[in-house]
Amino acid sequence: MMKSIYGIASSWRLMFLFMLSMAGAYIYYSFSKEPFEAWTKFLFDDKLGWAIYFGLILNLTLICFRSAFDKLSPPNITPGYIKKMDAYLSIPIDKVDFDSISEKIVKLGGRTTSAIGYASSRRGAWSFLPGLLLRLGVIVFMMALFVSHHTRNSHEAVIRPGMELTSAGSNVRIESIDARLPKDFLQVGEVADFNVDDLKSVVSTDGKRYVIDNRYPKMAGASYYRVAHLGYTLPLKIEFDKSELRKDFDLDVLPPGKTDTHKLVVEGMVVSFVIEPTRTTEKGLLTGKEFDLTNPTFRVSVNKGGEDGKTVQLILKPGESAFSNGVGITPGTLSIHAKMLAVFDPALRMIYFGLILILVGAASMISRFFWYEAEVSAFFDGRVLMVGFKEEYYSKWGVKRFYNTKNELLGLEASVDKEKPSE
Amino acid sequence: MEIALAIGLKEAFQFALIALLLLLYPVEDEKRGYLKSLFWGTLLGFSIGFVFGYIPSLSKRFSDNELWSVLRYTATIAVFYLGVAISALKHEPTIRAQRVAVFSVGFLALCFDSRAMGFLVYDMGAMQGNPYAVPALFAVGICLGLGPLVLLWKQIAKIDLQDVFSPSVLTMSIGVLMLATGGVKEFDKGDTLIAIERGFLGFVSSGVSALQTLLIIKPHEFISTPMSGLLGYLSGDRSAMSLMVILLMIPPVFALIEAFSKHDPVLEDSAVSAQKRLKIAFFRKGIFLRSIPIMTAFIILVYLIHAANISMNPLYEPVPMPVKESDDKTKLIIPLADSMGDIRDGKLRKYVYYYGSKQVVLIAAMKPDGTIGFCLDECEICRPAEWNKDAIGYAQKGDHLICKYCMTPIALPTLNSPGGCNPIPIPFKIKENEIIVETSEMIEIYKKLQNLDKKGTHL
Repeated sequence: MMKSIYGIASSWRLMFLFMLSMAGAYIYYSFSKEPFEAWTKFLFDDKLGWAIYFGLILNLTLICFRSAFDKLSPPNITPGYIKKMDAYLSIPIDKVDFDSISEKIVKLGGRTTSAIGYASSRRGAWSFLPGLLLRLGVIVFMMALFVSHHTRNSHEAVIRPGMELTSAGSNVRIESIDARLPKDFLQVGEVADFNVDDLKSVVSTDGKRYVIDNRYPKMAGASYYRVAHLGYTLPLKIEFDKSELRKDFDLDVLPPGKTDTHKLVVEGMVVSFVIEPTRTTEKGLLTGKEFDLTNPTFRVSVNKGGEDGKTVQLILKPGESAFSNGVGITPGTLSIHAKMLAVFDPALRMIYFGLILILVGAASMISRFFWYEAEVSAFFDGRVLMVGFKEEYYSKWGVKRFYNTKNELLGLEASVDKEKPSE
Repeated sequence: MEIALAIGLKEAFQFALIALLLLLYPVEDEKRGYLKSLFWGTLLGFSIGFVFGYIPSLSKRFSDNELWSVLRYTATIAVFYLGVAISALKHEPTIRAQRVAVFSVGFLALCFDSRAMGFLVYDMGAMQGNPYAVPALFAVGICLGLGPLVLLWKQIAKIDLQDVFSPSVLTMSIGVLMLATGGVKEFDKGDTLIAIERGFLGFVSSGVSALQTLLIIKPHEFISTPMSGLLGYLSGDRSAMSLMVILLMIPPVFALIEAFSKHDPVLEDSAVSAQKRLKIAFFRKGIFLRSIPIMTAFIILVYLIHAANISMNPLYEPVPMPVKESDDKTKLIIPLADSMGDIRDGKLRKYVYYYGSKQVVLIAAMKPDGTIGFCLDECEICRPAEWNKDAIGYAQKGDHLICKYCMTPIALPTLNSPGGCNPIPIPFKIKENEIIVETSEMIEIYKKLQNLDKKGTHL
């Protein structure tokens, strides 16, 4: 009974049944607003989802064991075993040089077994490895995914040089932020083709320094970090109606052309910023604008709010004040700020590892076109010689090859053979 | 009212194709059993579906069309994949199992479409104030559609296609027919394949986005992110289309492998060689016969996938707008921006100038370098036949113009360059946001084009 339970639990059919259940669950949740989120919530938070999810993991694990065991364990050569092969010969003969047949079978190579009365050659026994890698990758990925779903904690913070923040119980100090912004970025037409390849921040935590950039997340302390956004920080002194306001504005004005609006507490004042081009050229119907992003000029619109409600526009050049219609702006030192994403996730490494295993396994599956199991086995009980052949793939041609070469293998002349009936 | 007759006729005929396939398969002794199972399955499916669509209280209560559509798509794919499940079985299905399958196919093939038909029949009857004539015409249509099947029953009873169809190939073929004929177009504009592709698109785009968040490499507007290009491609409609193609090709590939994987029969050496060769030839002929429905299924599926692809990525062809002439009638004036929009939006524009009884159609588009391409809506080569005049000219697909006749893509930057499949350029000027064309120059070029001995008369 245990054997049949094991057989069912490690069967491909059960795996397809689990996958079909997952697909059915997705179709069920496709009626909700966010189908994918609802489906993952079902798999990770619902008991029925757990049953399907872990059932599939267990099934895949057992398939790994079964395929390895079946391929590597030496075959038990009996007449019943040979009859189950793809093709076999059963020759009633009392005199046969079984030793020479056994020798020929062993010469075929692979994992060979020979003893009195039986011999076997199994090539490609290790061909289960690509599939094993792929399945292991899926198992690792699925387990890590589950752990990540229940333990992940992420938050995003605006960072500036010199800042200190706390992440997962550790103090993190932002030493510097470095972005390679162009001095003369040309934008043609209305759509900006602006891209920052290299953005990094040097942080220190627990006495160590780390360089966090916009590429893959880096582990610093207990969390993973990645720089996720870039903007300017512009300290301003705004003078109006004999009042004065000082504020550090974090400007989200990239790519050029984007407007950032800030509502201030003071009497409903609204201040908008956009980067002003240093040069504008026209060709045909298109307009080209050149921007200095290392030391940008801003167009600042100030709406004083209240009953007046007028908007005053000023051009703020680097290091220079601007004054218009009773509003004066004096800039401080421009700097850049970034947004850093901090993620606490103990399973992230295993997620990456699982994905790599999946990719390696999938790539190595190509080898299965020519790396597969082929077996020739023979059994002789003194009265009947049985020789069987099986091949994992292309068995049609393998069987044909077997019948064409059987006489040579068995050292027989063409004579009466009792053969496996064709289907 | 004639529409009811047409719907009944069309749907019944489509069902008759499926029934014909099912009834041609079994041997003569088993045909009655098949017919009985099919009859009861069909009757039950039709009755339940029609009642749910026809009776207003039921129709309103179970009015979620999206749910019914999803159930129809699921049933179609289930029948289509039943063949794969049968292939995986170690033994041939028993007669009883076959009859249950036939009953189920009859039920599923008609249940969902009957609901749509019931709804349409009730609706048409209510709109025309004649609740009896419309169902009657519908019933007449059904009878006419099924008529050939009934009339030819005696001949059908004598044919069996067990040499051509195995149970797995039969169910796969029925699945293909259901994919091709499923749904009542007058009720449900949705196509099964388009729905599947949209479903896959939603899945891959959400899945890739979730993966990027999981790996902490979420794409950004202007900051480079690892693998953003590759993952962006994988989350697009091409991936969804690829998944749909894989989904549809698995059953025929399985069937093909099943048909071709059997090795030639091994015969005793003592057999006469001629008899041996005859048996092997007969065996191989059997393989060839079994491959016919599989290859037919491939062709139908390729056509369905192509049609779905065209539906989702249609060619854009605007209606030509009449062009304005100057006061002295010597020039054509075409504004770059008008009520139809601004030509700078990158979309193709078409204009028509009436030259006597002839229509001179012109195209304009903005090229990537910011200049304007302005040409006749014709090329030097293609000359569709008189009955195929709709194939003259160009449509837009993305950043290419496509010749509707030969489907050659023309890159937008090459507009205004003559030759080959390019549209014939017309000299023009840009003045104060208007395209100015000398009418006489345009007419001269048009006349030369009409006198040109063009090739391309295959259609």
